[in-house]
Amino acid sequence: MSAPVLQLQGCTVTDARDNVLIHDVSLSVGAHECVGIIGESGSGKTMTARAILGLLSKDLKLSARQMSLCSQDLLTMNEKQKRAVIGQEIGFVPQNTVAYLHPLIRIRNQIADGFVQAGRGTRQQGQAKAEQLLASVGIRDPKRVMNSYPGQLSGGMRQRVNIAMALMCDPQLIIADEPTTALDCIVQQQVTELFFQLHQQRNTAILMISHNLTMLKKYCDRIIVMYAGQIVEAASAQEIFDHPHHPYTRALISVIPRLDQDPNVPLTEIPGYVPEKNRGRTSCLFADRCAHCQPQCRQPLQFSDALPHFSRCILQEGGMAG
Amino acid sequence: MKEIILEGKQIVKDFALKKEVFWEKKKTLRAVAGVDVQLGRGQTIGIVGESGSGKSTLGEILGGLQNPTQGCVLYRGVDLRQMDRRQRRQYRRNIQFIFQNPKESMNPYFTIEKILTEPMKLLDEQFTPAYARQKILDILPQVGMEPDCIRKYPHELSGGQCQRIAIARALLLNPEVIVCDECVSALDVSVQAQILNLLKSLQRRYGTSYLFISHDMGVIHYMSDYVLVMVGGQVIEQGDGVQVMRHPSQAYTARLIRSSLFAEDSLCAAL
Repeated sequence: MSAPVLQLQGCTVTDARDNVLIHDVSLSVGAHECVGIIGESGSGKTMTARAILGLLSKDLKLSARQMSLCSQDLLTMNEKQKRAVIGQEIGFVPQNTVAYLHPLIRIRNQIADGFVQAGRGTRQQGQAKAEQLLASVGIRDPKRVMNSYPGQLSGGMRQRVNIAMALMCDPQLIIADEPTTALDCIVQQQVTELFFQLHQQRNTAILMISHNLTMLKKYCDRIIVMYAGQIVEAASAQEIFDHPHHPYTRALISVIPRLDQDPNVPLTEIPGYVPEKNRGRTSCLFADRCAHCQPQCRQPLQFSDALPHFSRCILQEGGMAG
Repeated sequence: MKEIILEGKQIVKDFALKKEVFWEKKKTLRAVAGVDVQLGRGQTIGIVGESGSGKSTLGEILGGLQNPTQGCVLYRGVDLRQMDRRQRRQYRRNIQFIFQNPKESMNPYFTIEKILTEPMKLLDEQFTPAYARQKILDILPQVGMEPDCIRKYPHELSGGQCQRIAIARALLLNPEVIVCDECVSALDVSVQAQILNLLKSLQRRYGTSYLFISHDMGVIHYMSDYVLVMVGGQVIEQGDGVQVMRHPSQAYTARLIRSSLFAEDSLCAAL
């Protein structure tokens, strides 16, 4: 196995008042691997992506033990070097298709910006490449799209433009932050399929952030479950579904309304809310909402992340019977 | 047959499109093309479709927010256009909406208390400030909110909490029908489960009818007694909720089910 594309160890983000937003997040994405991050809003998954991309706002403080991209250490670089490396090696596909494209500039004139900036070629070459990429992401008439303003395209089309734009510099890794949430279901499926087709064809590694567990299960190799700024469980996709260890993961799986379920039986609920404060503590953050909570859970806990199936819970699978 | 509260007959809605040059003929877009709906007391009708299929427009027409181009909406057998002031008021009071984005449907400069008081002030005959306050304090625990949130502003609440306030606002007037227009699609799955359970338990308690608009087949399946599948303004399939979901007769419905669930494979094999 070759070196991982992205290696993140002990990443913590705090705000100006020293509230912990994400705490001790460690993850790695191997070459050609597809990793999914799942969690509710406020669980810190977007924050993690932004920390990796160096897009955190100025008043937030980032600290990490290790943060490397394609074997280059990002922590020791200055802003400019960092921008160059991240810009070339990572493609980012945002959730909000509108906000990411400049509304007053034609697609033709903005799609190649990153490409030119990175010194990959001239604007003409960039535009030629963009046209090919647009065709490969399933746009039938790339010329027309190139000449349109973002507002003239539908959500699905805009998202395809974003994906093409992310691929402009042939990145090693694509980070997609809920790329399909804003789209309706049939387009959602098309875009997701497209994503994983590209993953197959180009052998790009993907870090996919989503709250659609069934989708991640279908496409990802590994799934990371985040809760309140921490990773609570990480394992292979199959393992997460077949043998979830953490009560939160189990709850997440069971709250989705399913077609094979009796409509007269109420859905499982997770009572309460995601804690906003005091996230840095080492005792269990899910304890207040957990049905299996024990006195021990309120004490500081230690977990080893060396196991292939990591779970931040004292109950391992055998103990969950009750 | 149950008592029918709200009925739409052959509803058609055209929207005028912008002309590109002024001598062009008037262009129209038919958003809803001849749809019949009957909503009984305590019933939930689910409307599914892609974006642009006219499901929201249909909901808005039935709720009286838009006038149909052709066809008519009957509330308790009376045509909306022939209602006198008093009846109209009655109708407005008994049809409430919950929209997709709760924060955008609230005035950011109003406190939660004011947001909740406003509809009562306008439509409730018994309105006095004390009465309104009492009603608000009664309703908040039912939607799972603390009473002290009435002094807060919408931005201080999370999306799920705002949606609960929107539900409380809809319930305060004891409506007969609530039009839920994608009311859970912006929420997290765990909050979504809470809201859906809440809506169902309120239905059992008060016999409210829902017009439930969504593109998530799982949600529709859980909520609806009767399902309409819309494409391009037309209803292509309708029937009993479980029936439509388990044995769709149209290929489009099957496709919708497959794509919206991201395939629990066992189920898809059967479609």
